[in-house]
Amino acid sequence: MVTTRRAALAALGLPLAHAAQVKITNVETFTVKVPDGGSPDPLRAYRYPVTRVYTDAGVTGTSFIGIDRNLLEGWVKPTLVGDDLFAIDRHMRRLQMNSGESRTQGWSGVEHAMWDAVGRLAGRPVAELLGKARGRLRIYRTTVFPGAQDQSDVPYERQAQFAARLKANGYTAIKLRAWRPKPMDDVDAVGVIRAAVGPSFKIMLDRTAVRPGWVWDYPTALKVARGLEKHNAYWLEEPFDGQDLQGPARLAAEVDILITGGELGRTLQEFAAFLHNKTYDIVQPDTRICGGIWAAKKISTLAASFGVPCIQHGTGAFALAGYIQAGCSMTNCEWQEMIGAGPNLPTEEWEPGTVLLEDKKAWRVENGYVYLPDAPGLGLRVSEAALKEYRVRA
Amino acid sequence: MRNRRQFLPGLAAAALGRAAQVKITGIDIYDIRLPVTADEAAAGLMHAFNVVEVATDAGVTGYSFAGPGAAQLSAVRRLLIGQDLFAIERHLYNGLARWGGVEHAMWDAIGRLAKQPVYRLLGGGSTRVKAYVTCVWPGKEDQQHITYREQAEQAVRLQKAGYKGMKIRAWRPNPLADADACAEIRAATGPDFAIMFDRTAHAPQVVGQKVWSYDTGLKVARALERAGAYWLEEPFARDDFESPARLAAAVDMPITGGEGYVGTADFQQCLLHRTYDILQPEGRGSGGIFTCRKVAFMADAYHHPCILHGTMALMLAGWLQATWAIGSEWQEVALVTPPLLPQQQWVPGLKVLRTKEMYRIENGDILAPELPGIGLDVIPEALREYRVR
Repeated sequence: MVTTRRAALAALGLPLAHAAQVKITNVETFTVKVPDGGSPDPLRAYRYPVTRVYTDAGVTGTSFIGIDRNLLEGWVKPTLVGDDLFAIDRHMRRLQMNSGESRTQGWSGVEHAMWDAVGRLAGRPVAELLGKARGRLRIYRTTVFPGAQDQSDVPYERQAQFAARLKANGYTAIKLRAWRPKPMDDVDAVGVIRAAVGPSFKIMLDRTAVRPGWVWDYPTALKVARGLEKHNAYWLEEPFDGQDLQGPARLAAEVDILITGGELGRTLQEFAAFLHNKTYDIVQPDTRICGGIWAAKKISTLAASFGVPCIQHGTGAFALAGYIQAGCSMTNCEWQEMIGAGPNLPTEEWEPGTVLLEDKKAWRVENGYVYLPDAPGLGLRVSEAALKEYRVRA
Repeated sequence: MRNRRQFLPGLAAAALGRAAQVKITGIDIYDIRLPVTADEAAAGLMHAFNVVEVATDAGVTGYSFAGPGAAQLSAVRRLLIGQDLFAIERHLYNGLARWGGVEHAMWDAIGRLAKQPVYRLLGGGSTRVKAYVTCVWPGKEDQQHITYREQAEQAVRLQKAGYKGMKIRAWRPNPLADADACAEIRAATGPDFAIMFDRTAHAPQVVGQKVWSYDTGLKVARALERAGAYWLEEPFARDDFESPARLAAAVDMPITGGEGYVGTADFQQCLLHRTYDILQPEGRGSGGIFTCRKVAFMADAYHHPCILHGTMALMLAGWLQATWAIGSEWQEVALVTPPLLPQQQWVPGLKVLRTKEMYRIENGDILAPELPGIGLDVIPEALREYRVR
């Protein structure tokens, strides 16, 4: 039998290629402003913060989350340039040790961009490298209407009309502020919205802890929660101070509507405290505030071990890229919050930004779901030429 | 650097390709037997492995030598053929955790596709780890036929080879005898060598012993501590989450455990009850690399170290990837048959590898290879040659 060299090689297979350590060569952050046609629409996004991580492997990672310049020059560059791109866990620990937990939010733009580079090197979406639990996330639209911060001048009908518009466009959920000076007004608003959207559309209410400037007492929260239950609202978010471990737990035990929270949690230990105290029915880490995609995956894992869903707090437009990857890696994350600049659809808001993408397309959104993109990294096919063209600030 | 980047934009501007879903197209599980002499086999040279191959439609095949045995083949195929290679979380949920070695082969395929070592993809905590060597002498399982002297000699042998720690059984019929052994080993090695003891929970039942009572555990732990032991592993039953916590609170020496748990739930109980100072998920039995990584996430929240229960030779590759990803202080190498050193015991396995070494060991540390997947450059033809028909 004649054995050719080619056949012999095929039988042997090819040796594994050397996988040299990939080093970070530079990190930068800047803003891009895309054309607004001369008359900007306040419901569309034209300015995008960008953070980029350059590597010696010829791959660059990009996130649409800016980072603080002092942190960039004072810690990120001195620490990360010349070091291992992949050692995200080690870098995160060093950041916490060197700068304290308050800085974890600051570097997230870098962390997301590092994951983009890792995924591009691997040729795979980041969600796949983190265990990939799902291929799509259900969207809920968080909408703050123009007018008073507490929405006291926003007619219930205006909120109901917009919820109906979301529904007509395939979306299945809306989240609104529960900030009105008379708390039961927000319950009445939900009643009007419920009548407009029918029984299966999800309506979430967000009290946002201390942000309204005053905190509900327990009887108020209980009354609101009971009222929301009657209108079949889906969840009530951060009814008390975000540091209050017991109040939400007491409310969650007393009512059937889900009590949620955790967006300001910065450490795994804070989430452990929420879980030990049964503070929330659903924990909601923010994939920027908690320190990044990796930190969010850790929190999700911890929550899953308690049987608690981990539904990420959201953001808007292209900053969502890392959130969507993280969410699709989580076994216990069904939803992705998308926060609007006002009453608009997510696809409308990021439409101007698509000039930054090679294929002029962001995510596939269908029937209220956002689908995990099939591009490597964070999934946005960022155009080098467009980033250069629209860059406004060094 | 500047120049290089200025040169690159043309390249970087190429549109990203499509990352099509990668499907598992084939699974094979079979035994290999590597040639050894009767004497080598008797001395404990590792020459028999159960291989898992996971083939994909992306033209990449992943390997592991920690397979579950060919009897599991049809069940593994039913779970995985035609499925998304990357959906590890979903597969774990659907039962993959029973076959940690299959999961290792999947990660090997993932790493080969990504052209990166698995430890980098999972956080890149470190690129080296201290090995401690678990020694079990042939003969009586409880080791009562082995003199303290012989144990001390093996410790010194390991120490001279650069290793920083050794673990032995705490199974002798008189439990305080193991503390005496510890004292003799300590005298031989000096202070800078870790001597770990493993009671292995209910395992001493095979020599007619019961799980220790709390009193016995406390007495032994105090004696071991006095004799300079580094940790005591699994002093009580695996479903007893309280007694180890009580013991850990009573003594200074770490109390460790966790090798018997599958999935994350029991580890969560351990953390809630502060059962163990150090969690020791099994690199295969826990569910595999990703489950170990997840246990380390959870342990992080409570500031407990996570140090994998070990294995050796070709099997160890998957364990090491998890260990480097986590950045653990130690990796167990087990079970080593004295007077051999680990690297002597796993020589036969080199026949299936292109590399000269299985793992680079430097001053007792195992160094992470810069190779994709789980880091073994397997020769497929060699696997065919040594496959047991």
